[in-house]
Amino acid sequence: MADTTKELQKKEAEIAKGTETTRAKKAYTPAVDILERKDDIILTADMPGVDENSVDINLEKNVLTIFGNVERELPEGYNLALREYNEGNYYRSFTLSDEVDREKIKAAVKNGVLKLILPKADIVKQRKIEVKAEA
Amino acid sequence: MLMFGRRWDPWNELEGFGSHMRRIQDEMNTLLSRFDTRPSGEFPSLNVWTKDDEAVITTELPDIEPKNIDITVSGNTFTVKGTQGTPEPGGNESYHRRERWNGNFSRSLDLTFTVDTDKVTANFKKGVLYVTLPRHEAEKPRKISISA
Repeated sequence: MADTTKELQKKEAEIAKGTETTRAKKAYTPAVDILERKDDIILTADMPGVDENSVDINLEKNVLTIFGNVERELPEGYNLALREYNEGNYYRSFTLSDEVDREKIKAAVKNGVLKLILPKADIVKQRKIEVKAEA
Repeated sequence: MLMFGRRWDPWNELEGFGSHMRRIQDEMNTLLSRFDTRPSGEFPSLNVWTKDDEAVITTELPDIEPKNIDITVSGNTFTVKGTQGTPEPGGNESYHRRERWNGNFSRSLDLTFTVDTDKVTANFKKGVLYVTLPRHEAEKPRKISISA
């Protein structure tokens, strides 16, 4: 069944206060699914119009930023008669917890969808803290 | 007593004015940008481009294999159907966020002319579908010459 509570309209991306984008093009927040599995976390983002060469993934400290540049492929010589959606870039950032193994993050783009695999760090998988009684 | 208890401070009032104006400006911007698009509230959203004798419909269908997109055209009605499924979580799995479209979709649009169904072409690139719909030959305007 279709989930009717979903936001169908593209939402403009929130850019940090006090900063501006250098391009006039608008940036939108891609819709994402974040699925946590036993050994990894899978992040899937809808970014129609991007391919493997136009996506930038940045990891600084614990902030993961995804940016997608969309080159408009508009039909030439045509006039726009109806516009229900806007074309633009994509921008979204996430704060990662310590449990992600930053070195082993994998990314792939297919059919306008970015898929990130964030493996969980071994330490998290088997970290047990022993509590010793004070002598 | 209370009514006159607080003194009006014009400088204090001014301080809040700047942020107030900014908020109004932000709100105006979002309001105005909505006039740009006319969301139908249906999935998927369509953009329609026209030229003399044909129309191009574009729509964003990320993550859908082209073979799973069903396009039908009859008369002047264009319909696109399909399914986009996100995997159901298994035993040890759970979704933290699930914002993407999940399920069947069907979307129709009436064009202003009859389409030559034999000449419809569709293209799928990077999650964007492009369908070119030429106008039917019989409907095209014809110049009638007057014979003497």
